[in-house]
Amino acid sequence: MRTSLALPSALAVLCLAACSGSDSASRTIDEQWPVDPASGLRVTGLGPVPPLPEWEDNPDTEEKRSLGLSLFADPRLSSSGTVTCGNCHSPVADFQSNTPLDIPARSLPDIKPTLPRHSPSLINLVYAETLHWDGSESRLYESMVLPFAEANMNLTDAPKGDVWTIDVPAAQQKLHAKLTQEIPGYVPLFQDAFGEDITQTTPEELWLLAGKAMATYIRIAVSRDAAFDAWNAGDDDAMSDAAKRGFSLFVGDGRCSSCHGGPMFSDYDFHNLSLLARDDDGNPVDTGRERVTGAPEDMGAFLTPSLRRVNKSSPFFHDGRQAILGRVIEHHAGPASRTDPNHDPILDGIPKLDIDQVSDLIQFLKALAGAPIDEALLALPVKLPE
Amino acid sequence: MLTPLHFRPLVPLAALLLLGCSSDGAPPPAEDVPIGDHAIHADVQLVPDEDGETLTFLTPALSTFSMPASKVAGRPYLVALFTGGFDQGVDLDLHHEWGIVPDDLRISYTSPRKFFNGPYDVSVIVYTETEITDEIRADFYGVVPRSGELSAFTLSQDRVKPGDPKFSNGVIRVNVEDADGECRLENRHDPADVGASLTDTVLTVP
Repeated sequence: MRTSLALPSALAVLCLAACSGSDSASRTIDEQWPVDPASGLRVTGLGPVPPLPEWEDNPDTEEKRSLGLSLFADPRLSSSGTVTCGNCHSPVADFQSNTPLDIPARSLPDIKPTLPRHSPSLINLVYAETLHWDGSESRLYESMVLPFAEANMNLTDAPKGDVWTIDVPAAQQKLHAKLTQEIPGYVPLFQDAFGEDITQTTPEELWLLAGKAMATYIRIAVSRDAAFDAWNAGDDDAMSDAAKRGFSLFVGDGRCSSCHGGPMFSDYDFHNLSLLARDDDGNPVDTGRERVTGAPEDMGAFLTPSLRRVNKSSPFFHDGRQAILGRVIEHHAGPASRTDPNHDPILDGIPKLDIDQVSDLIQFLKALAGAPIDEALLALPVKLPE
Repeated sequence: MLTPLHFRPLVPLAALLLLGCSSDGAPPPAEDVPIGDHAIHADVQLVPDEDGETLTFLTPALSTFSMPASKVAGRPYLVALFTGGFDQGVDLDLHHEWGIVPDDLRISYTSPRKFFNGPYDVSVIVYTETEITDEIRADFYGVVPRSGELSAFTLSQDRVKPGDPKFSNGVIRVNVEDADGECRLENRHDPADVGASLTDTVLTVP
C-alpha cells in the first residue's frame, strides 16, 4: 500500500519543528517582511485582487449578467445540442473540469479527438492581460464568444474531428440565426440588456454583444481575500508556518515570483518549460506561442497561469499532463524543465527542492485560494429562452 | 474526471501535527482527539445493455460511449476516500483500496470503521486502459486515468450541507451522520433524463 520509508524520518523532523513551540523561522519571515506603511502590504508586488474593472463600453447590469448566463449554459447553441461552455468550465468546479482534455462538440458522438489544450479555470479571468495558452487573444469579449467558432461549440462547417480550425465569420452567421430565428426568446433578452434589436444587427455586431454579455456573467468568477492576502496586509496569524516558509521560497530561492508575480500571480507572459510534446514522427504536437508569432524562439512557450485557487484546478500545464501539484513544482525545479534547448533561462537558477520545501510551497499555494464563489451566483438559469 | 491523486502525505502529516501538539507544545487532552466509529460504503454496479455484453456510459459532453463488458471485468479499480472538499492532486486520501472488477461487474467497498460525523468524498476509477503495476500501487502519487477509463461522477452539489465545502469533479459526496455513510453508483446513461444520468453515475474519461 502507499507507505514510504521516508515517512518516519520526515515525520520526526516536522514533529520536532512543530512541537518546539512557535516556529522561530516563521516569526523571522514575518519580521523579514514588515508592512510597508505606504502600501499597507508586506509585498506590494503581490497585492490583493483589485476591485472589478469598470468597462465603459459595457457597464455591468443584471440583464447582461442573466443573458450571459443563458448563453453560457444553453446547449442548443452548440452543433451537437449537448455541449455548453459549462461542460469544460463548470461553474460548480471553479469554472474548469478537472479533466486533462475535454471533448468538443466537433468530435461528438465520439470521445476523440479531444480538444488539443487543457481548459483552464476562468477564475479571475476578467483581470487577465493575455488570454489563451498561446496568447492568441487579449480581448475578453471576443475571447468569451470565440468557442462558438472553435471545435468546442462548433458553429462552423469544419470537418468532424478537426480540433484546430476556427472560422469566425461562419460561426457568427450561425449564432445570429440561432439567436434570432431558432430561439427567438433571445431577442427580447438582448433588447433588455443592450437596447438593441438583434434581428436588425449584423452577425458581427451580435457576436460582440454576446461576448459582452458572457464577459459580464464571468465577473462572478472572482476569488479574493485569500489567507496570503491577510498575511500580506499584516496579519501574522493568517498563514501557517509551512505556508510562510513556502512564501519565502516562492519569492526567494525558488524564483517562482519571477513569472508568477503580480496580484494574479502571473506575468501573463510566455515561458518554455520543456513541455513541447512530439508525435510519433517527431513533429511538435502544439508549438504554443510560436503558433501566434511564428518566431522560432517562441516554440514550446505557453502562458503563465494565475495561481489563485490553483489548488482547485488539477490537472496542470497547457495539456493537463500533470495532475499532481507537487510534481508540477518538482518539474520546475528539476532537470525535466531544462531538456528543451530553448527552455526559459529562469529555470536554470532554480535549485533542486527537497520534499519539505515542496510541501511548504504547496501550503503557500493553498494559501492563495480565496473564498469560493457565492452559491447564489452559481445557480443555473431556471428556464432558458424559447 | 481525474481521480484525486496524491502528492506527499501532507494531510496526514498536518493532522498528526495538529493532534500531537497544542499551541504551547504540550499534547492535547485525549478527549480532544476525535475518534469515529463509522464506516463508509461504496457500491458500484455496472449494468450491461439489453444484449448483456455491452456497457454504455455517458461522457462529460453527454454523448454515449460503449465498450464490451469483457473489457471491464477483470480490470483493476481504485476506490479512494477523502476528507470532504479535498484538493485534487494536492491532498492525500484517508483510505484507499485497489481491486479487480469481478465478472458480475459489481464493486463493493467498505472502509475501516474509524470515521466520525462529517463530509467525505469518494472516488472510484476503473482502469480499462492503464496497466496497474505493483509500482503504481505503491506510489504515493497514484496514476492519472487515461481516455476511455471510467470514473465516478455526480453533478449536483445538493448533498453538500450548509457550511460544508463543495466537492470537485469526479467524486461522490458522502455524509456520515451518526451512522455509516454510503453511496450507490450505476452507469446511468439515459440522454432523455440528463439530470438523473449525471447523478451517482460512472462516466467515461475523455
